[in-house]
Amino acid sequence: MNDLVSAPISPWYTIPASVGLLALTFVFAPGVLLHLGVLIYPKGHARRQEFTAELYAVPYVKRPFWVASALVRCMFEGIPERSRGRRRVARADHVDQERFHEQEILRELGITTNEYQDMHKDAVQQVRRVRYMIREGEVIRNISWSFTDKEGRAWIVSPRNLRHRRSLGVVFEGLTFVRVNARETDT
Amino acid sequence: MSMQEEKPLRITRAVVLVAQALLDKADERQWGYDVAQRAGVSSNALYQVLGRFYERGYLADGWEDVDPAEKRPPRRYYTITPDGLARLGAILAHARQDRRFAGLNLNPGLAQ
Repeated sequence: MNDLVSAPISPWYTIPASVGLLALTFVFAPGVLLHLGVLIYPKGHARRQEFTAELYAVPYVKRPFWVASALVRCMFEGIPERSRGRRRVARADHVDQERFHEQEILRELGITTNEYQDMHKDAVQQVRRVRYMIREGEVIRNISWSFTDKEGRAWIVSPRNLRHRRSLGVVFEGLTFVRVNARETDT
Repeated sequence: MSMQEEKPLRITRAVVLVAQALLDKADERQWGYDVAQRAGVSSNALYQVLGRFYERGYLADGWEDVDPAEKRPPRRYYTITPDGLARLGAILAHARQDRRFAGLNLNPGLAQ
């Protein structure tokens, strides 16, 4: 009897602490770590969104392993991407800078990469036409104008930066092309 | 987006497994975690291989439409391009001849 009384008894908080630890390991920590890990990628990189969205499809039990492996990818892919990005910025190439935000814009507008590439080609052709107009003496300073591409999509062109975070903008040779769509905030 | 210069694709175990998993459902949208499960590779290996395939134009991508009530971000999906279908088939065909991959259970029906 005396032995039973003196036997070690777990304190009252053992069970809640265990549940908390499990929740931390399999629910909160993977999400938090992954959200921090994807910050290694440059802003707007598709992997940021891709990894965090994919986590919702992974069962809780497997999340710590999935996240640990994903963090390795973040380091091996994100760090070189970021360093390449810095070099691009140093070159001050407008088109390259735009690519940092491309994926984010595409995601928000719900269009595919291929559709965007077609749009970009159209825009570049239009810019070449515009530059011809400049050489011909057209006064375009502070003037915005619009055109409709062969797909029937409306664009606004301006020497000023009209690009909004939620708009599809292409900056090319100092001119901004903004696609006009259903969102009022675009222009 | 920006296509990198074409480098020869190094055929590794992960490349073969992911290629096979993609070809298993060639006509459907492919989701990252599902591909990893079918291929039996880690997320690190999966996304490395998907990135290589995507850069080479074997895969196209898109984002799912999510019901706002679900309160989760949209997932990215991949689809195999016509060129990718031939290239991935060629990878599998090559792997079947390669002793390094003799231990893998490669579906002979998928390799063209």
